[in-house]
Amino acid sequence: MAQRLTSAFLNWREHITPASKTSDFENTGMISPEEFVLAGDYLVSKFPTWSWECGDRIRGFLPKDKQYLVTRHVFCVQRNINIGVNEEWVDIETDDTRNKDDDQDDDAISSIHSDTSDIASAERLKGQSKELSDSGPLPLKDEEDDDQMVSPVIKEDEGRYYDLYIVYDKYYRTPRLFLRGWNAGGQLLTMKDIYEDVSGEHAGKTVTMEPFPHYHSHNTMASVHPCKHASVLLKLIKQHRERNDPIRVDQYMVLFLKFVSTMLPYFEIDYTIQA
Amino acid sequence: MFVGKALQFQSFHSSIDATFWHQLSNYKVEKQKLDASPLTIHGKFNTYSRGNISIVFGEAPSNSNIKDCLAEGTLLNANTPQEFTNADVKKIREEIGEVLLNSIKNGVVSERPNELLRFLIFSYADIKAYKYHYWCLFPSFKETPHWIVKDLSPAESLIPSGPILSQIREFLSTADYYQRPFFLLIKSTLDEWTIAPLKELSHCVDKSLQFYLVAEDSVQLAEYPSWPVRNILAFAFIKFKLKVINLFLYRDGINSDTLSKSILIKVEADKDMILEAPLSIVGWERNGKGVLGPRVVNLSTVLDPFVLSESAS
Repeated sequence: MAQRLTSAFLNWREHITPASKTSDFENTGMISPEEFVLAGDYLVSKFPTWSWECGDRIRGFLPKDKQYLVTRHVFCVQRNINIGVNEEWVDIETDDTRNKDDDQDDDAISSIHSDTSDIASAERLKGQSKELSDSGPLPLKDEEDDDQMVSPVIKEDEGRYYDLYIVYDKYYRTPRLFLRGWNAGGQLLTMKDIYEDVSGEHAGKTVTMEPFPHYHSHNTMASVHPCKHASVLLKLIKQHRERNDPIRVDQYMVLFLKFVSTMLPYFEIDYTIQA
Repeated sequence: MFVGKALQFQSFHSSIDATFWHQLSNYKVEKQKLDASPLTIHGKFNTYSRGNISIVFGEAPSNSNIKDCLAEGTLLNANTPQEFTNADVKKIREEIGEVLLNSIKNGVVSERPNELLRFLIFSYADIKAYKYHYWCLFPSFKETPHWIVKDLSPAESLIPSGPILSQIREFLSTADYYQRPFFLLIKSTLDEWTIAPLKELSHCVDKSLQFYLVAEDSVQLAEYPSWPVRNILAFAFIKFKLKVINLFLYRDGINSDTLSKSILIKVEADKDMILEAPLSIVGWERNGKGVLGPRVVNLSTVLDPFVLSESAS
């Protein structure tokens, strides 16, 4: 309940904060709604899996047809497959990024895919199968021998899919990530499932269930709290400047996506820039 | 796609947002009540959508993003669980198949190529429990020939991408949305390639012009094209009796400066005509267990105010 009130307060606080008009992203890491649109346009043109959408609750400080960004069906690998994220594991929320040694990283990762959580999720899946069989398979023998159609062989515990949404957070003046996940069988993931897919240091701390600001309905999604976003992005902007590779404001969202990918190490987020 | 082998098609994977079910619930409670007449929905996909089609409530918008192909669909929503479980799914399938066959034969497809992608969702919304049972039908013909791959090459090896890309962009941004999934690439008498809408196919056949059937392909797999390709081949075979077809699988997308992912294939039908009549239809999407049967999605965690307040406290 307390969280619900806090959440309501934060939404209200965002509501009364006027949208900023001035740009100072290089010094603050924050962007204005106009810059959000600019950076979103760049993202959509360079990363074509992303699109603009409008939802059913229009927020007046953004153009009607460019309310938030979305990419659907992003594959997330099964967590007990040992993928090579260790080398690229970058902690950008704390200052000692470079000094962090590998052993620590290994611990962080193995705690996410411990055996117990696998058993738990297997049991959950069993429960769901029972529900499904209520309406059982239908007699369509004549379709089963259709040799021209290939349906992907889906195992429900092999991989999950996420819809990722980037909205503008007026209070923190940064983009904010919302995500909704599905298992391979098309069932919605619970918050606990989602925690298994986000990096250990974010699960339960900065990732919470929140109402999605562009839908009228009670449409809650997991969201990464944006309180640290500006400082992290500022750090990345500075790093680029030091490397003599300064970031333009329209490239801001690409930077944000890079940051997101460190929080979501198991996600196959598309990085292929289309020239 | 392997030379000498019959082409197989990757089925569409339906991707339905919670918003869709929320909109259906509202519509059902506020407007439709117990009336069970079909509702209009649409689906969108593009060259990047990894075999997925996102299903959206309501009519296809005529001003949609030019990178998306839109398929028009029907939502049949059963009023009771009994209606849902006892429904004659074969009959539903045959009916939508007949619509497909008719629009191929009477020329509707030539004018509105996305009619080849007409699909159906059959659902039961357990509104109080926030549970939605559904399955999707992406119809195709079972008895159309197998298409044997005769030749396979990267698009850029035969077609100059520069001028073609700007023409494709021009076509996609000016043509009506229903033209986007399928169009033609025709070699003119001056040896120049031009993009044309699908309705020019009769002209190409009459004049024996060299041409490619272009299909926007939402998968990047080396082995298979996606489901729409199966129906454009069926169209060419049924309507124009074409037995050898040059296909252009457009996989690069509107923002790309190359055609490096696109593929050209030449296919040949393994039979001359369809002997079986009436044509039987296939295309019910398999559920999460790979079985021909409905899925159920439980959205109480995102839609039910009670569950929401529980989880928040």
